[in-house]
Amino acid sequence: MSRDQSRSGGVDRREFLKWSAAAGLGTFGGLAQAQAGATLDVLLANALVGGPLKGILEKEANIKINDAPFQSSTDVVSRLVAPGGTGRFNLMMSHSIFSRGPILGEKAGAEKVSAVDLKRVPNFAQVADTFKSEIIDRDGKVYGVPVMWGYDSVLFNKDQVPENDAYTQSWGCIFEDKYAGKIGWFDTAHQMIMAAALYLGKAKPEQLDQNELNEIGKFLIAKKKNVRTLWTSFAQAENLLASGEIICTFGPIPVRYNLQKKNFPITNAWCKEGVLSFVQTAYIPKDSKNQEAAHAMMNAMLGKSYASQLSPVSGYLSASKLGAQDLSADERKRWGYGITEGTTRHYPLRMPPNLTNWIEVWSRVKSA
Amino acid sequence: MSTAKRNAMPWLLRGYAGMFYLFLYAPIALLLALSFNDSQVMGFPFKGATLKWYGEVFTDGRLLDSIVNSFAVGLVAALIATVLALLAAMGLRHSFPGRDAVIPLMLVPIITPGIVSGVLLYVSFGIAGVPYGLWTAVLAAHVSWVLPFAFLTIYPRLHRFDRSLEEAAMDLGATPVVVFRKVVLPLIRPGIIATLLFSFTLSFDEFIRTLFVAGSERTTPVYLWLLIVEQMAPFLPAVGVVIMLISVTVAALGFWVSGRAGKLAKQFER
Repeated sequence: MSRDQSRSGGVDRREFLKWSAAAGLGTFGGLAQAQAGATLDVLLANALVGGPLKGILEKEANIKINDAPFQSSTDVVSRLVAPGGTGRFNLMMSHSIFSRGPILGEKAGAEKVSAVDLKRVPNFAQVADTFKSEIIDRDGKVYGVPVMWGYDSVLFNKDQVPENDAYTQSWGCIFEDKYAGKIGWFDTAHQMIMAAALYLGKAKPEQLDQNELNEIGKFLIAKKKNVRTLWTSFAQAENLLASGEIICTFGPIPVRYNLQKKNFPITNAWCKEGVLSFVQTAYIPKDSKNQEAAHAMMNAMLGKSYASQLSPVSGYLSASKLGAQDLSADERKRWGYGITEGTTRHYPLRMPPNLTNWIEVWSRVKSA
Repeated sequence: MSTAKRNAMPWLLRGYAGMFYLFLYAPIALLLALSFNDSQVMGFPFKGATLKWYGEVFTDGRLLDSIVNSFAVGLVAALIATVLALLAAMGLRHSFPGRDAVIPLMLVPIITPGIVSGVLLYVSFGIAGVPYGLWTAVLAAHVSWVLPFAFLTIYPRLHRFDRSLEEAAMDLGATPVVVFRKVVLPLIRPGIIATLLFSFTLSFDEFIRTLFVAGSERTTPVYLWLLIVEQMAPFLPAVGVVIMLISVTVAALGFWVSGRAGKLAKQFER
């Protein structure tokens, strides 16, 4: 009996365990809810289904969304490839840069996700040209669809760092001496070394050899004296900026967005070396039990209602052309759509093949 | 020892004790103060007193759901773990091959780091096909975590009281089931209640194993962790105070019942 047959026809081990648990503990409602037909268990950045966004998707796709706690894109991919991971969630999303390999597997047939039935995702046609290269495909079949994108840049406090300061137009703001003692760094090897490499003029930071990595390590160690603190979570960065303990930092979108929402004078720089951009791809694990609803959700994420609300509600940007369609020029610039329009410089946050060496260099910087 | 040194010792001890309590309780006092701070920033300066963060706590639907989840799973995990611990403790009153290895084996979850347990549970549940969820993977994870503690709490209670009471009952014709119901259970009941409460507290606070196997469900610690990681939530100190009050109340109840159990058991100890 094939896996499909066992799922649809008989009772397999997973079903047996599930119903055993339900029989024993049926008085508690949780499981009953999880069995509902159009309920989708999804694993993606929780901000993507925050506020009204969840309601929009639920209405458009006629589904109910259960979003699991999101830790990181790495965690999402790890959960997909772990034993039993292809049947845990109905829809997952992670950074496309390191999802492609694990999702597709080594050869055709080893894919961990289902091929997307594009007939069920008519809004696939709306994926902006900039992100077409991020579509995860093999042999003419699409396995991952770019849905959302964003960027990391420098965040600074407008009241204390003049917006026309040359440093605010560069990654230099978080390295150079001018704001010494008021600078925050993100405690992560990949992004911080990328930013430093861009600042130091490296054309392809993801291809740094060991000598160049050492050079960047020395630079970061020399500049570490200017740093007030290294933060590890977005909430920590928000608190540090809001309290004035730091006035400029390496910064992801949610930090800026949340602080602006609370009327803190925080904005981001459009670094002349390029902000670090990333794309998130949605995919349907191959043992997802509700493929139809997962397709519907994917389609809704590229649709106008969701795409146009994504930036105002979360700060992230839509990979759908419909996302920026009705925005004013000022809004497009403010949210960062200048990147797709070619007016704002960016550099994709690519994965270096020697990431272990990057982590070793970053550890050296931290312990120096 | 000179007189001067002898006179200084009590003061040094007082100073040490004072510092000990300061380090122990100052963060809690700080949390309490911050929970009333009318500021968007978690920290000082103090910008006036407010109760609005408590208002947010009690109107945050997802937080309330997570508290209900933690309560429910904590209750069931405590019940299962206590019953299993009681059965194990009863069994260990008899001799059988490998008896000496049972207790160390039962204590393995205590000495295994939480993150390692989380990964092990995640992988093994994946292989076994146990679905994510409160009443499947989370409950199993919590029982496996709580069981050794329940056993350690209940085992001494069961082994301390005078077994001649059981023998006397059997001499009078009571069956083993009747002896258990009429003699053993009443004597260890306070111990069982204390074990239940202790197990509940451990389950209620469990985070790392739950994070690995919870799927889309959120228990209170998982929800709190999300809040802490994702955004600056000024009502977090108020959440912390509420959660602490729940844990402290249950723990205090446990200590009280445990104290009663101790007094009662002493009367029948050999």
